[in-house]
Amino acid sequence: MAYSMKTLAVLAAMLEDQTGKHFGYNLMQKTKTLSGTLYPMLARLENDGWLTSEVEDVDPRVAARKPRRYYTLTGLGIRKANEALNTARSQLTPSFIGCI
Amino acid sequence: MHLMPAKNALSTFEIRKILTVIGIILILNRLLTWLPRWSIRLVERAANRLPVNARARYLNDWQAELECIPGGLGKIRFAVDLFRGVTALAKEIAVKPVGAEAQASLVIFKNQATALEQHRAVALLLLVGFLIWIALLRIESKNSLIAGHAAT
Repeated sequence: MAYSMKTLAVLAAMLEDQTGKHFGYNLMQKTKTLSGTLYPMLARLENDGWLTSEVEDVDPRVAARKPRRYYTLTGLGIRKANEALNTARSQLTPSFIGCI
Repeated sequence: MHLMPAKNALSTFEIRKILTVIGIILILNRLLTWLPRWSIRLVERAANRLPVNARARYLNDWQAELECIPGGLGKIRFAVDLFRGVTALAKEIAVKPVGAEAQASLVIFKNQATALEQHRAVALLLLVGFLIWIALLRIESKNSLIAGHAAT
């Protein structure tokens, strides 16, 4: 299955910190992806079982902000993301490899 | 005594230009202060375009994201692009609901939809029955009128 460059960029950003928790704005900044592209992508990856998400356990009054939703790669997600990135890297010419 | 016009005096045209620029700056400043509020409204509208079972989740997520985006322009850019991509997100959610809580709310939504369908069917049956009853009344009244004419 082919994945868009943006999807691969998001997966690569999440793979940098595999067990880490990522939130939307953080991923947008890292991958230069716009919100209208990111959220459908995250929903698709979550539907496919590559990601799980959970709302952070924080008191909005103490933190003075709303609780964020954090996305984490699942075991399946880590394996599939690595496969997808390796496939993409093997198909790309050397000058494009740096992009992902 | 003859008065010479001052060389540095501003003409009416120049004063108008300065006032226009000041006005534009004031309007832009006002618009910039409104941008965060517009962003929140736009995000709410975007969430309302999602299936009912996912609205609350995404609205909370996006409001939390909006809070951490610095500057009004950044916020409005986030909201506008979100609005653009919300149809794609709605399709993704429609394929398979996100999360266990959404699964549960989807069941409730389906039950509500079934109940609504049943209510519609009952309403339709009542309407059809009412129309038939009206038609029968009219036929009866016509018949009685004809019978009355025949009698006279």
